[in-house]
Amino acid sequence: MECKIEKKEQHSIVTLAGEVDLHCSAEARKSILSQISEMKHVMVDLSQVKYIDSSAIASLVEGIQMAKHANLKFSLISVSNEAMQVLKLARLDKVFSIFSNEDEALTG
Amino acid sequence: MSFSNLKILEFDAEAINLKAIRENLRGIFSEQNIDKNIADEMVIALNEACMNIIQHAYKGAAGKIQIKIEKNATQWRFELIDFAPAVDIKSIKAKDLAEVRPGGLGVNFIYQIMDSVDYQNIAESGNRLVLIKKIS
Repeated sequence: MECKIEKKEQHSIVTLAGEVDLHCSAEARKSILSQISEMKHVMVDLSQVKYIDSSAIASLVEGIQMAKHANLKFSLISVSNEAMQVLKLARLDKVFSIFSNEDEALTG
Repeated sequence: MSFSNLKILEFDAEAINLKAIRENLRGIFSEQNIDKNIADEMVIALNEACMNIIQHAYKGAAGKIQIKIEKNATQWRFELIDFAPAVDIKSIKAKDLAEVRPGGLGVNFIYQIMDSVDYQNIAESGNRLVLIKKIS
């Protein structure tokens, strides 16, 4: 898995890439949650995710819950088909704010 | 109807091996020309089952996971064996997806994807999970 954080003025984008599973989901979780305390809007870019398991999905759920608690925005952007398949299995595709790209997430 | 044995995989029960387990499974499904969506779903279910063995059966201790893969004309059959202490089968429950909270999704994925899910304690030591997926 690769994980990149891009910080902008009001928001940050955490990009996860590759296969995000139990072996690396703790790193993904740390990256996502670290941004919630810093930014008004955290986006997680899943466009390059080839596989995601329930441990990584749990990190996203933790992210949205922390953001809600802090009254911040939390969005998923450019979700790959592989990631969407798992979000749908978890019936979380209607729970997350999901956008096609960064611009849509900013105006959505 | 009897099953023909396709392969037996054996791995150390460590998270770092999950990727190799998935790659092996994808290779087997690809060789069998199975529909990609069904193959992807079965990989998800089997990955979650292996994760549960690593996290909840071995609880971080060293051990092995064996995956026996069989099929016949109408079904795939997977037998996952570990050699960890017996797990409390009654405690294995699919999470209510209406509850949005982290964790507990893996068992739900397995039940959604597979047509039959059977957890067993092995008398000598360990646990067995038999998964069946029907194919048309």
